[in-house]
Formats: sequence, C-alpha cells, structure tokens
Amino acid sequence: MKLVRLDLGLLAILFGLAPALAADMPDTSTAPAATRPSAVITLATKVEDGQKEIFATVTVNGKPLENANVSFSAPRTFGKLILGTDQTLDDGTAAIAFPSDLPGDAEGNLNISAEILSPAAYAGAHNEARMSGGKTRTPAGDAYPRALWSPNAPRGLIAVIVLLVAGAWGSYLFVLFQLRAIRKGADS
Amino acid sequence: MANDRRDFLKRGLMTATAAVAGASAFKAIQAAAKPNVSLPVLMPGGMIGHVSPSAISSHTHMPPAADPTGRNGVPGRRWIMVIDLAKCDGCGKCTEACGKAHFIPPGRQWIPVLVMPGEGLSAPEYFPRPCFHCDNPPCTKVCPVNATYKTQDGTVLIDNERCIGCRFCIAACPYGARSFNWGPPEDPPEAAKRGYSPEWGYPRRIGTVEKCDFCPDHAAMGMLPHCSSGCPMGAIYFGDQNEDAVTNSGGETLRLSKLLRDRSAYRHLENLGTEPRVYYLPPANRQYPAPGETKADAKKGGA
Amino acid sequence: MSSPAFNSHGPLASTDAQVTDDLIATLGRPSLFHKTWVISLALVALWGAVCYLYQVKNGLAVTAMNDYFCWGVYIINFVFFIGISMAGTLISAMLRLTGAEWRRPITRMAEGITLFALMIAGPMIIIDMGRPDRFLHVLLYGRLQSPILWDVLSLTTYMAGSTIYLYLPLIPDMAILRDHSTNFSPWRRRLYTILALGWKGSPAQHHALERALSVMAVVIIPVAVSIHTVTAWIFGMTLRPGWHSTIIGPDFVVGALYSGIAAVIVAMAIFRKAFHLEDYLKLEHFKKLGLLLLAVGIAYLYFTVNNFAGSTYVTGTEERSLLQSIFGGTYAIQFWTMVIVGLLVPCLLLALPWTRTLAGIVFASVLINIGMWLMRFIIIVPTLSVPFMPTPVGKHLAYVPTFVEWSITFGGFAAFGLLYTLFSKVFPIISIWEIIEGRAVAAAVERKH
Repeated sequence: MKLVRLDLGLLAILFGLAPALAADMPDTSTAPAATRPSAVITLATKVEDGQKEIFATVTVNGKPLENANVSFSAPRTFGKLILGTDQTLDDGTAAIAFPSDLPGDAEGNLNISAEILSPAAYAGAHNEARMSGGKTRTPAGDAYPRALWSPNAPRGLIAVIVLLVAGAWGSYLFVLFQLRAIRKGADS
Repeated sequence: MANDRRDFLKRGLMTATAAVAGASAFKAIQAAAKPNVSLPVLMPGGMIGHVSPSAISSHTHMPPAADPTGRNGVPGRRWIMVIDLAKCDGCGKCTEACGKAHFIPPGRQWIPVLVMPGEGLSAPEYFPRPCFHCDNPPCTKVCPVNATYKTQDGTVLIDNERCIGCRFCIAACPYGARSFNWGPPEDPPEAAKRGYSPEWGYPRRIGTVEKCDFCPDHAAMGMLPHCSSGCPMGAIYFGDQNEDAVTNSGGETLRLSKLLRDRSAYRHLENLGTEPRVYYLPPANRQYPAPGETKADAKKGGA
Repeated sequence: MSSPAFNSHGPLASTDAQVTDDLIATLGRPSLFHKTWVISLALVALWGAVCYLYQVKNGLAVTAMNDYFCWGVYIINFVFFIGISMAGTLISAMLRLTGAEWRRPITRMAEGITLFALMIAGPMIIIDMGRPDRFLHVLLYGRLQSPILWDVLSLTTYMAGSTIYLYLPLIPDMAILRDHSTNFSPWRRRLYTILALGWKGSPAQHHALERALSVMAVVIIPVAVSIHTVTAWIFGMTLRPGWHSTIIGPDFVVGALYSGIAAVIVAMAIFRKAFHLEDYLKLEHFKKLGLLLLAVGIAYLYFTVNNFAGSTYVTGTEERSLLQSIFGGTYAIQFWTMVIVGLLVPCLLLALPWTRTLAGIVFASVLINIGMWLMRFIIIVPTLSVPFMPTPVGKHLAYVPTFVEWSITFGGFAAFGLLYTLFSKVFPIISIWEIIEGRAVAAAVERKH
C-alpha cells in the first residue's frame, strides 16, 4: 500500500469516521450563522407571589420573542433532567417554579439551562446559569458503620465471642497447669 | 504550479482513500467480525496494514476502575436503579449486553429476564433481575473473609482474589443473584487485557463467586451500565440517589422521587428486610404483551 | 444403685490383675480379620483421596452441585460427622457429672468417636471449598459476623477440648501400660512412657487429675452445645424456608445427641465382638444406652414435628413448595424413609421390651445413623430446590451426587473407621484404671450393706 503522511492520514480517518459516528447523533444545522438571527436567552430568578421562579427572557436582536417554547433543565450525571417547559409571553419571558427540592452541590447550587424548542428558526439556542437555592447535599454518613453486613463487627458481638472463646481456652490453660502438676509429682 | 496541483490531487486522493478506509474499518468493527476477514487499519508510522478482527478491541467499554483498590467505591454517590416493567417486553437485550461486556460464559446470566408467574388471578410479567445491591445485604453478612462487601457508593462487589469459594453468599441471597465458577473459567483472551478488578469481575478465577456489579467503572464516568444502555425499550433507569435523578438508554432523565411516587414503585420481596436498591415500576398500562400473551391479547386487555 | 449381681466392672470373680490383663490383650497381635479390615479401609480412604485430587484439578464442576444446589453431599457429611461427635461429650462428661457408674467401659470409645469425627468433619469443609488453597484467608481476613467464622472457632475449641478430654483419663492407663512394658515393642514402650507423664498414682497426682477432669467435664458441655448450634446457624442465619427456623439450633443439638449415642452403641457392638469384651460390655450397658437413646429419640421426634407444624398449619408462599416437595414430591422418599427408618422404627424397637435385645438395640442404632444422614440431606437439599425466584426459562433443577462425591464420602467414612481402628490397637479401648476404680467403688458399696 502507498505510504501516506501521518497527519493527513489521521485527518482522513476522522473525516471517514465522522459520517459513521454522525449517524447516531442528531443533525445540527450547518447553515452559516450570518444568515440566521440568533435568539438570546437571559436567565434570572425572581420571587413572585411568595414563590421562587426561574425566568428566561428570550430576545432576538434586542426585541422580545413571543410564543417561543423554552425548556428548562438541570444536568445530572447520566443525562439532562427536564425541569419544565413554558411558552414566552409578549415580554419574551418564560418561567417555571424553582426546584428548591432538587439536590445541588454541597452548598445547594444548581446549574440551570434554558433552551429554545420552537420556533424552528431559533431552536437550539440555549444558555446556562448557576443558581443557588437547591437542596444542599447531605454529607455522606459513615460508609462502613459497625454492622453485621459491614467489614466492622458490632462491639457487642466481638465482646461475646471473645468472652466465650477466652473462657473455654482459659479452662484449657488451667488443665495444662494440672498436667504440669502431675509431671511435677513424678519427680518428688 | 503544475507540481502544486499534482501534490494537491495526490493529497486529495489519499484523503479520500483513507476516509473510505477509515469509515469501512469502523463499520466492520461494529458489525460481527468474520474470522477470515482482515481489516485495514492505520498503523503508527503512517502505514496502512491489515489485521484480523480479533486483534481489534473496542475501548469504548473499558474505562479505568473508579477506585483502584476496588474496595471503596466513589464518595458522594449512591447508585440506584429503577426498572419499568410496563416497558419491558422480555427481549433479553439487557442480558445480552451485560453478558458481552463481562465475557459471561453461556448458560450464566447476571441479569436474566425472569418470567414471574401471576399470583392467584394476576397476569404474569417479565422481570429483569440484576443484583439488587441491598442496603442490608444478607450476602456480605455471611462472608467469612470479607471477599464480598458494600462500597460507599452502595454497590456490593466481590473480590475474586480473596474469595475462598465457600458459597455461603449464594446460599444467603434470596434473589439467586450470584453464580459460581464451578470449573476452570473460559474467558476469551480479550478479558485478560484489562487486568482484574472487582469492579468488572474478569478475568475470572476458578472456585469463586460472581454477579451483577452495577458497572461502577462506567457509572463513575457518567456512562450507564450495559443493561441500562443496552435496553431498546428504555425500561432500565439508572442514576445517583443523591442527585434524585435516574436516566435510561434513551437519555430520558426523570426525578427519582417523583417517579417512585407517581408510579407506585416497589422492591421485590420487601418483607425480607434486605433493603434492595433496585425499584420496580408495576406494569399498569403495559406497552408490550405479558408473557404468554400475543399482541392481539394485549390490545384486548385494553389500554 | 447397682445390685451385687450386676457388676458392670468386669467378670464377677476376677481380680484387678485379671482385668488389666484382659484389657491389655486388646492391644495384642492383630488378627487376619483385623488386618483385612484395616487394609480395606485404607484402600477406600486412599481412593477417596485420589478422587479429591481429581476434584482439585478440575474444580467443583466434577460434583453435581450448581448455582441452585450450591451445597451438597460434602456439607451433609460435615454436619453428620459434627453430629456424631456429640457422643464423647455425653458419655464422658454428662454421665461423669451425674455419677453414672455404668459409663466406665464406654468413656474412651465415646471420646474416640468424638475426636475422629471432628478430624473428618474439618477436612470435609475444606473439600467443599472452591479455593482450598486460600484457607488461610479465614485466619487472615476473618469476619466475626460470619457464622462460618463462629464454626471455625467452635470447631477448633471443641477439637482441642476433646483431645484434652481424651488424653486426661488416658494418663493412668499409659502408666499401667508403661509398667507392663514386656508386652510391647520398644516404640510403644517409649510412647506410653512419654504419655504417662510420670504418673505414679500418688494422691497429689490423683488430685490434679480429678480437678482437671471436673473442669473439663463442665466446660466441654457448653462447647459441644456451641458447635452444634453454630453449625445449625449456618443454615439458620439465611432467609430460606426450612432453614430460617427459630428452633434449628436446639434441633441440631438434640439430633447430634441422637446420632451420637447411636454411633457409640454401634462402636460398642463392634469392639465387643472383635476384642471379645463380653465381660465388660454387657447387655445392661446396651440397655441403659438404649433407653437414653429412646428418650432422645422421642425428643427428636418432638423437634421434627415442631419444625413442620407451624408452616403446615399456616403456609407462607415460600414454604409451600418446600413442604410439597418433602411431603409428597421430589424428596418424599428420602423424607419418609428418614422418618420411618430413622425415627419411628428405631424408637419402637427400643421401646418394646421384647425387641430391646442386644441385636435389637444395635440394629436400631444402625438404622438411626442411616436415618440421620438422610435427615441432613432433607435439611439441606430440598430447601435449595425451592429458591424464592423462578428459574430462568428452560432451567431444570436437580441434584444427583456424582461418583466423585460418593467416593469422597465413602473415603471419609473409611478414614474415620481407619483412625478409630488404629487408635484401638495403640490405646486400650476400655479405660483400665476406671474399671478398676469402679470395682473398688462397687466393693465399698457392697461392704456397706
């Protein structure tokens, strides 16, 4: 086979692989950005009627976008947890209740994302923000407590076993002393 | 000028050739490899060589061990699984995916799909049964040498360098989740490439015990266990209880607490007090026929 | 109170010297029958060892065990041998503490059964292990929460205790043999001298020996109860129907007493015949043990009924399949054979005066030992045949032990017999000094009247 330069070959493999890999991935728009007006989302929290809410304001070229479907989510280890969807009002805002019972990090901070689902022209536009107010992670308890199932035995169990075994072998020791007495008796 | 064009053409042709070669190599590895086919691959130094498929190992399912000792697990996590019996159609792809990933010998299954007979007048159901990684495990209690143990992320693992083969844990597990290597193991050579860890359970040792391990090496990297990702129905959800979220093979992520509450989740043989970490969602509004039913019966049964 | 006519301590008109000569004679030249017996046992034991090596090479796959029947014949043998080891404790300790004079000719053969049964039980467990090469892990990494650890501790404690309890009453006999050294070869003379520990029969030595024996008699009883209880708890500490029973501990203890006494009676009958000990092992000894056996048998029948009564009356789903299989299903033959052959028939033979003859008592004891091996089978195998979960489609559950398992089983029994036989030819199987002591006690009692 012909000798091929390493760098070009690697690039080529990537291009060859890309279509095969891309078969599993959703199609992303390849239209150049310049011909599409981009939607901008800003995220904030607000307390309305005593209830904390997440507001996403969608604007296009500075003007609020109405009737856009916005989905709110928080990333979890294995996937994206959808918190809710809302349609933007005439002021371009969509809101959902803040998930204050959703576990965040140690201080209760959550990464919230908002993404536009429709209209198709702006679909895919998204923004993330870090917000406080989620549930704090409870500190992990003792991973290996003294228990029947853990590597560490309950103290009571240890005490009982030691006592019983010591009792039996202690009496054997006593017997050994008697044997010594018998041996000694032979010499007298 | 002519040289530049010739160079460009040459490079273009090479690119195209290599691209095709790369794509076809990838597709060939993906498909079941036939023993007499040899595949073109790019070798170090820029050569293209031919190798047999058996020499090619896909490293996508071989992340490193989450904990090198294999004993402690990862801090801050509590892995949990939810199996939606309404979505399970008994296809057995979960069993297959797990078996392939762990080189499980034929006749043995770490997550068999059992057919639970209906009690009384109830209908039977398909029941994938992994190890439940109980929080009050009857198996770890009876192990005389601490060869099976619970890690801090909730997984119950087995150290096959420690196991003495007494089979007390097999006798103790009420769910029958454990298997024994009665004879010399027949792992393929691929299994040896990774080195042993209790987190994946191969290469196997004769005279030791094995079972479902919740794929902790995958979980720590944010990848679902093989049964979960291999389920075409998305019936097996997996997640971190501390995050209150579980995800299935379709990427569907749900609030764990809400899912368990709304779908009336239960654990199997709850009354034994083992505290399993696998919850089942009862098959109300089945999406697929129950065992022994045809599709027509299922439709009649009426959703 | 024994009447003058019933002198359980040797022939009526004999002297102490005659008694000594009679009992030393058991150590004499082995007969042709004896040699054949020893060689046969050795061959069977050797064959068992060869089969074990085959098993080590090929793994436990050479047995019929599988992921459902994870325990089989080896564990049955283990529990059986632990069971008959109760013999020594009962005869030597319990009868000694209660002052039963008729125990005197039986103590050493009972203690022998205990020691050698334990010496076979231990290896049986190792034979059952998937990784016997890792046995030291139990000592290095042992978990105190595991019933197997309790069993290891209890077994070693009991074996040590039984060895001590076998040796202590052996000391004065070693002295007697040392002093009759002309009968014996040089190595035997050396052995007896060493083991005699310089015994002269002085008051101080007697005192030390009595103190040691009293302490051991008291300590060995709870130790023996513990070994059977923790062995039962290996099953009792699981969740399985038939095993997870509140009375499994006492059930095993009483069962052990039952099979232990039966084993002693069989041993007595064999030694009586082989060594012509009709003057020492009299019908009265068999009858007294026979009545004790009957009492324990009735108790064991009571335990067996209690085991099943509750779950027969109100049957949980888990117990349903188990009871079906043992009362009328796959294991019905073994169960009812065990009940009839192992419990009802022997108890009847022992209870009815016209069958309570020497032959009847010995026959009942043989039946009991067979029945109790079957009982261990009934305890272990049917429970494993009814797992909580349905089996994967197409799997069929059955356990039929293989040739290797049977060979190792018979090898184990042969090894037990071999050790016991060799013991009886090196050490007097009837305790000489205790017989002589008993004659003195009986004479003193007579003088009082």
